[in-house]
Amino acid sequence: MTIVDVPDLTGAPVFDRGLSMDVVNLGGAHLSGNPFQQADLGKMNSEMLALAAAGKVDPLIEKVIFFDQIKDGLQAIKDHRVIGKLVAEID
Amino acid sequence: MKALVVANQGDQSINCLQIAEVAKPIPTADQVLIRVHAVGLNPVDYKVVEGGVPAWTYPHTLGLDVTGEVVAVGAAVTDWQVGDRVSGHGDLTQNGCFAEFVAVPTYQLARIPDNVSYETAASLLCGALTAYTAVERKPNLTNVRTVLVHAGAGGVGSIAIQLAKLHGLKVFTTVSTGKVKYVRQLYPDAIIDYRQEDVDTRLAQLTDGLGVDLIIDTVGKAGPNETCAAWPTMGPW
Repeated sequence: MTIVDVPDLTGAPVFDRGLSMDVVNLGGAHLSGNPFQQADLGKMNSEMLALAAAGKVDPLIEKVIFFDQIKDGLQAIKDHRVIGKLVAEID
Repeated sequence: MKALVVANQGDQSINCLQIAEVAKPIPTADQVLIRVHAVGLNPVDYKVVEGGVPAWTYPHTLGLDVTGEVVAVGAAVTDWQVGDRVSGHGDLTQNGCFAEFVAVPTYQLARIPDNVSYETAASLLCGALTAYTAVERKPNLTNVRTVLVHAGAGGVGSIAIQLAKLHGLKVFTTVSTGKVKYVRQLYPDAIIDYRQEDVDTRLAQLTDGLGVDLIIDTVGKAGPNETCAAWPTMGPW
Protein backbone atom coordinates (compact mmCIF):
# COMPACT_ATOMS: atom_id res chain seq x y z
CA MET A 1 0.00 0.00 0.00
CA THR A 2 1.79 3.13 -1.13
CA ILE A 3 0.80 6.70 -0.31
CA VAL A 4 3.53 9.15 -1.27
CA ASP A 5 4.77 7.74 -4.57
CA VAL A 6 4.88 4.57 -6.67
CA PRO A 7 7.92 2.36 -5.96
CA ASP A 8 10.17 1.07 -8.71
CA LEU A 9 9.18 -2.58 -9.02
CA THR A 10 11.78 -3.39 -11.70
CA GLY A 11 13.20 -6.82 -10.89
CA ALA A 12 10.84 -7.29 -7.92
CA PRO A 13 9.31 -10.78 -7.70
CA VAL A 14 5.75 -9.49 -8.10
CA PHE A 15 4.58 -12.23 -10.47
CA ASP A 16 6.58 -15.08 -8.92
CA ARG A 17 5.11 -14.44 -5.49
CA GLY A 18 1.66 -13.30 -6.60
CA LEU A 19 2.05 -9.90 -4.95
CA SER A 20 0.00 -6.77 -5.51
CA MET A 21 0.49 -3.05 -4.99
CA ASP A 22 -2.14 -0.43 -4.40
CA VAL A 23 -2.00 3.36 -4.31
CA VAL A 24 -3.93 5.60 -1.91
CA ASN A 25 -4.59 9.18 -3.00
CA LEU A 26 -7.61 10.93 -1.48
CA GLY A 27 -7.30 13.80 -3.93
CA GLY A 28 -7.90 11.33 -6.73
CA ALA A 29 -11.44 10.79 -5.45
CA HIS A 30 -12.16 14.53 -5.58
CA LEU A 31 -10.89 14.84 -9.12
CA SER A 32 -12.37 11.55 -10.38
CA GLY A 33 -15.71 13.07 -11.35
CA ASN A 34 -17.11 9.73 -10.12
CA PRO A 35 -19.95 10.51 -7.70
CA PHE A 36 -19.65 7.09 -6.00
CA GLN A 37 -15.94 7.56 -5.27
CA GLN A 38 -16.60 11.10 -4.11
CA ALA A 39 -19.43 10.01 -1.83
CA ASP A 40 -17.10 7.49 -0.20
CA LEU A 41 -15.06 10.42 1.17
CA GLY A 42 -18.06 11.43 3.26
CA LYS A 43 -18.85 7.83 4.19
CA MET A 44 -15.30 7.12 5.35
CA ASN A 45 -15.37 10.39 7.28
CA SER A 46 -18.56 9.25 9.07
CA GLU A 47 -17.07 5.84 9.84
CA MET A 48 -13.90 7.43 11.22
CA LEU A 49 -15.89 9.81 13.41
CA ALA A 50 -17.93 6.86 14.73
CA LEU A 51 -14.67 5.17 15.79
CA ALA A 52 -13.60 8.37 17.55
CA ALA A 53 -17.01 8.70 19.24
CA ALA A 54 -16.64 5.12 20.51
CA GLY A 55 -13.16 5.88 21.86
CA LYS A 56 -11.54 3.39 19.49
CA VAL A 57 -9.28 5.84 17.64
CA ASP A 58 -7.26 8.68 19.15
CA PRO A 59 -5.94 11.31 16.71
CA LEU A 60 -3.13 12.26 19.12
CA ILE A 61 -3.60 16.03 18.97
CA GLU A 62 -0.29 17.64 19.84
CA LYS A 63 -1.41 21.23 20.01
CA VAL A 64 -4.33 23.51 19.25
CA ILE A 65 -3.16 26.85 17.85
CA PHE A 66 -4.84 30.08 16.72
CA PHE A 67 -5.61 31.23 13.19
CA ASP A 68 -2.67 33.64 13.06
CA GLN A 69 -0.29 30.81 14.02
CA ILE A 70 -1.14 28.54 11.06
CA LYS A 71 1.78 29.85 9.01
CA ASP A 72 4.23 29.04 11.82
CA GLY A 73 2.49 25.70 12.31
CA LEU A 74 3.06 24.73 8.68
CA GLN A 75 6.73 25.69 9.00
CA ALA A 76 6.99 23.56 12.15
CA ILE A 77 5.48 20.59 10.27
CA LYS A 78 7.94 21.11 7.42
CA ASP A 79 10.86 21.28 9.85
CA HIS A 80 9.73 18.02 11.53
CA ARG A 81 9.29 19.88 14.83
CA VAL A 82 5.78 18.44 15.34
CA ILE A 83 4.86 14.90 16.40
CA GLY A 84 1.10 14.40 16.47
CA LYS A 85 -1.65 16.53 14.98
CA LEU A 86 -1.73 20.30 14.78
CA VAL A 87 -5.19 21.85 14.82
CA ALA A 88 -6.08 25.54 14.56
CA GLU A 89 -9.11 27.37 15.95
CA ILE A 90 -10.57 29.87 13.54
CA ASP A 91 -13.18 31.62 15.65
CA MET B 1 -13.75 37.65 5.62
CA LYS B 2 -10.32 36.80 7.03
CA ALA B 3 -8.33 34.10 5.17
CA LEU B 4 -4.79 32.72 4.94
CA VAL B 5 -3.90 33.12 1.28
CA VAL B 6 -1.33 32.55 -1.41
CA ALA B 7 -1.62 36.04 -2.91
CA ASN B 8 0.19 35.55 -6.22
CA GLN B 9 1.16 32.73 -8.53
CA GLY B 10 4.89 33.12 -7.81
CA ASP B 11 4.46 32.90 -4.03
CA GLN B 12 5.85 29.40 -3.54
CA SER B 13 7.07 29.37 0.02
CA ILE B 14 5.46 29.27 3.46
CA ASN B 15 6.95 32.73 4.13
CA CYS B 16 4.80 34.21 1.37
CA LEU B 17 1.52 33.23 3.04
CA GLN B 18 -0.54 36.21 4.15
CA ILE B 19 -3.64 36.82 6.21
CA ALA B 20 -5.90 38.85 3.92
CA GLU B 21 -9.43 40.10 3.60
CA VAL B 22 -11.24 38.17 0.82
CA ALA B 23 -14.84 37.84 -0.35
CA LYS B 24 -17.03 35.44 1.63
CA PRO B 25 -17.77 32.47 -0.67
CA ILE B 26 -21.28 31.91 -2.02
CA PRO B 27 -22.30 28.22 -2.13
CA THR B 28 -23.24 26.80 -5.53
CA ALA B 29 -26.31 24.54 -5.89
CA ASP B 30 -24.60 21.41 -4.52
CA GLN B 31 -22.52 23.15 -1.84
CA VAL B 32 -23.00 24.29 1.73
CA LEU B 33 -21.43 27.31 3.37
CA ILE B 34 -19.58 26.45 6.58
CA ARG B 35 -18.66 28.85 9.38
CA VAL B 36 -15.26 27.38 10.19
CA HIS B 37 -14.53 26.38 13.80
CA ALA B 38 -11.38 24.23 13.72
CA VAL B 39 -9.06 23.15 10.90
CA GLY B 40 -6.43 20.45 10.60
CA LEU B 41 -2.88 21.23 9.42
CA ASN B 42 -1.15 18.72 7.18
CA PRO B 43 2.13 18.42 5.25
CA VAL B 44 0.18 18.70 2.01
CA ASP B 45 -0.78 22.27 2.95
CA TYR B 46 2.76 23.58 2.53
CA LYS B 47 3.64 21.14 -0.26
CA VAL B 48 0.94 22.58 -2.52
CA VAL B 49 2.26 26.08 -1.79
CA GLU B 50 5.79 25.08 -2.71
CA GLY B 51 4.76 23.03 -5.72
CA GLY B 52 2.00 25.32 -6.97
CA VAL B 53 -1.34 24.08 -8.29
CA PRO B 54 -2.20 25.02 -11.90
CA ALA B 55 -5.94 25.11 -11.18
CA TRP B 56 -5.63 27.85 -8.53
CA THR B 57 -6.84 31.40 -9.04
CA TYR B 58 -5.32 34.14 -6.89
CA PRO B 59 -5.53 35.01 -4.11
CA HIS B 60 -5.93 31.31 -3.25
CA THR B 61 -7.24 30.43 0.21
CA LEU B 62 -5.28 27.53 1.70
CA GLY B 63 -6.56 24.64 3.86
CA LEU B 64 -8.17 21.23 3.31
CA ASP B 65 -9.48 19.82 6.60
CA VAL B 66 -12.51 21.73 7.79
CA THR B 67 -14.94 21.49 10.67
CA GLY B 68 -17.68 23.92 11.48
CA GLU B 69 -21.33 24.75 11.35
CA VAL B 70 -23.48 24.87 8.23
CA VAL B 71 -24.77 28.43 7.83
CA ALA B 72 -26.26 28.27 4.30
CA VAL B 73 -27.15 25.52 1.82
CA GLY B 74 -27.20 25.53 -1.99
CA ALA B 75 -30.46 25.24 -3.94
CA ALA B 76 -30.02 21.50 -4.70
CA VAL B 77 -28.92 20.46 -1.20
CA THR B 78 -31.51 18.35 0.64
CA ASP B 79 -29.60 16.27 3.20
CA TRP B 80 -27.90 19.08 5.11
CA GLN B 81 -29.36 21.88 7.15
CA VAL B 82 -28.30 25.14 8.69
CA GLY B 83 -26.90 24.34 12.15
CA ASP B 84 -25.43 20.93 11.28
CA ARG B 85 -21.99 20.29 12.84
CA VAL B 86 -19.92 18.93 9.97
CA SER B 87 -16.41 18.04 8.87
CA GLY B 88 -14.83 17.31 5.52
CA HIS B 89 -11.57 16.86 3.62
CA GLY B 90 -11.50 19.36 0.78
CA ASP B 91 -10.33 19.37 -2.82
CA LEU B 92 -6.90 21.01 -3.06
CA THR B 93 -7.73 22.62 -6.40
CA GLN B 94 -10.47 24.72 -4.75
CA ASN B 95 -10.34 27.61 -2.28
CA GLY B 96 -9.85 26.14 1.19
CA CYS B 97 -10.79 26.43 4.82
CA PHE B 98 -8.03 28.49 6.49
CA ALA B 99 -10.67 31.20 6.60
CA GLU B 100 -13.77 32.28 8.49
CA PHE B 101 -16.05 30.61 5.92
CA VAL B 102 -15.68 27.98 3.22
CA ALA B 103 -18.12 26.61 0.62
CA VAL B 104 -17.73 22.88 -0.12
CA PRO B 105 -19.65 20.23 -2.07
CA THR B 106 -21.68 18.03 0.28
CA TYR B 107 -20.29 14.65 -0.83
CA GLN B 108 -17.24 15.02 1.44
CA LEU B 109 -19.18 15.90 4.59
CA ALA B 110 -19.99 13.91 7.70
CA ARG B 111 -21.99 14.93 10.74
CA ILE B 112 -19.83 15.23 13.83
CA PRO B 113 -21.20 13.11 16.71
CA ASP B 114 -22.20 15.13 19.79
CA ASN B 115 -19.41 13.67 21.91
CA VAL B 116 -16.69 14.49 19.37
CA SER B 117 -15.17 17.99 19.45
CA TYR B 118 -14.51 20.15 16.42
CA GLU B 119 -10.80 19.84 17.19
CA THR B 120 -10.88 16.03 17.22
CA ALA B 121 -12.94 15.92 14.02
CA ALA B 122 -10.48 18.33 12.34
CA SER B 123 -7.60 16.02 13.19
CA LEU B 124 -9.26 12.96 11.61
CA LEU B 125 -9.39 14.02 7.96
CA CYS B 126 -6.46 14.14 5.51
CA GLY B 127 -4.05 11.77 7.25
CA ALA B 128 -6.67 9.69 9.03
CA LEU B 129 -8.82 9.13 5.94
CA THR B 130 -5.70 8.20 3.99
CA ALA B 131 -4.96 5.60 6.69
CA TYR B 132 -8.60 4.52 6.61
CA THR B 133 -8.42 3.95 2.86
CA ALA B 134 -5.16 2.05 3.27
CA VAL B 135 -6.64 -0.32 5.88
CA GLU B 136 -10.41 -0.40 5.35
CA ARG B 137 -10.85 0.09 1.60
CA LYS B 138 -7.95 -0.95 -0.60
CA PRO B 139 -6.61 -4.21 0.86
CA ASN B 140 -8.40 -7.51 1.18
CA LEU B 141 -7.57 -8.47 4.77
CA THR B 142 -8.54 -12.12 4.29
CA ASN B 143 -5.59 -14.17 5.53
CA VAL B 144 -3.61 -11.04 6.38
CA ARG B 145 -2.01 -11.55 9.79
CA THR B 146 0.90 -9.14 9.87
CA VAL B 147 1.17 -5.48 8.87
CA LEU B 148 4.20 -3.22 8.56
CA VAL B 149 3.43 0.49 8.97
CA HIS B 150 6.29 2.76 7.99
CA ALA B 151 6.59 5.98 10.04
CA GLY B 152 4.12 4.90 12.71
CA ALA B 153 4.45 8.21 14.56
CA GLY B 154 3.18 10.18 11.56
CA GLY B 155 -0.33 11.42 10.82
CA VAL B 156 -1.15 8.50 8.51
CA GLY B 157 0.92 5.87 10.29
CA SER B 158 -0.46 6.52 13.78
CA ILE B 159 -4.04 6.01 12.61
CA ALA B 160 -3.10 3.02 10.44
CA ILE B 161 -1.60 1.30 13.50
CA GLN B 162 -4.80 1.84 15.51
CA LEU B 163 -7.08 0.61 12.69
CA ALA B 164 -4.93 -2.47 12.07
CA LYS B 165 -4.97 -3.28 15.78
CA LEU B 166 -8.79 -3.06 15.77
CA HIS B 167 -8.71 -5.86 13.17
CA GLY B 168 -6.58 -7.95 15.50
CA LEU B 169 -3.61 -7.81 13.15
CA LYS B 170 -0.03 -8.05 14.36
CA VAL B 171 1.43 -4.60 13.70
CA PHE B 172 5.09 -3.74 13.19
CA THR B 173 6.19 -0.15 12.70
CA THR B 174 9.35 1.71 11.75
CA VAL B 175 10.29 4.98 13.47
CA SER B 176 13.45 6.97 14.11
CA THR B 177 15.08 6.78 17.55
CA GLY B 178 13.42 9.94 18.88
CA LYS B 179 9.92 8.63 18.17
CA VAL B 180 10.17 5.16 19.72
CA LYS B 181 8.67 6.31 23.02
CA TYR B 182 5.91 8.28 21.30
CA VAL B 183 4.74 5.38 19.13
CA ARG B 184 4.73 3.02 22.10
CA GLN B 185 1.43 4.58 23.28
CA LEU B 186 -0.27 2.96 20.25
CA TYR B 187 0.84 -0.52 21.34
CA PRO B 188 2.30 -1.85 18.09
CA ASP B 189 3.51 -5.44 18.44
CA ALA B 190 7.03 -4.42 17.44
CA ILE B 191 8.79 -1.08 17.02
CA ILE B 192 11.73 -1.07 14.63
CA ASP B 193 14.17 1.80 15.14
CA TYR B 194 15.46 2.01 11.58
CA ARG B 195 18.46 4.09 12.64
CA GLN B 196 19.66 1.36 15.01
CA GLU B 197 18.39 -1.85 13.44
CA ASP B 198 18.34 -3.50 10.02
CA VAL B 199 14.68 -3.46 8.96
CA ASP B 200 14.84 -6.61 6.80
CA THR B 201 16.61 -8.65 9.47
CA ARG B 202 14.15 -7.65 12.17
CA LEU B 203 11.13 -8.38 9.96
CA ALA B 204 12.52 -11.79 9.07
CA GLN B 205 12.79 -12.55 12.81
CA LEU B 206 9.30 -11.24 13.53
CA THR B 207 7.65 -13.25 10.74
CA ASP B 208 9.71 -16.46 10.93
CA GLY B 209 11.04 -15.61 7.48
CA LEU B 210 7.60 -15.46 5.89
CA GLY B 211 7.65 -11.70 5.24
CA VAL B 212 4.90 -9.25 6.19
CA ASP B 213 1.48 -9.73 4.61
CA LEU B 214 0.64 -6.04 4.18
CA ILE B 215 2.98 -3.05 4.00
CA ILE B 216 1.63 0.48 4.41
CA ASP B 217 4.30 2.81 3.13
CA THR B 218 3.62 6.40 4.19
CA VAL B 219 7.14 7.59 3.37
CA GLY B 220 7.88 6.63 -0.24
CA LYS B 221 11.18 6.25 -2.05
CA ALA B 222 12.99 8.65 0.25
CA GLY B 223 12.22 6.51 3.28
CA PRO B 224 14.21 3.85 5.12
CA ASN B 225 12.23 1.07 3.50
CA GLU B 226 12.32 -2.65 3.72
CA THR B 227 13.53 -4.41 0.58
CA CYS B 228 11.60 -7.10 -1.25
CA ALA B 229 13.24 -9.62 1.10
CA ALA B 230 10.66 -8.52 3.66
CA TRP B 231 7.71 -8.92 1.30
CA PRO B 232 5.47 -11.96 1.73
CA THR B 233 6.88 -15.22 0.48
CA MET B 234 3.54 -15.71 -1.31
CA GLY B 235 0.18 -14.01 -1.42
CA PRO B 236 -1.56 -13.23 0.80
CA TRP B 237 -4.53 -15.06 -0.66
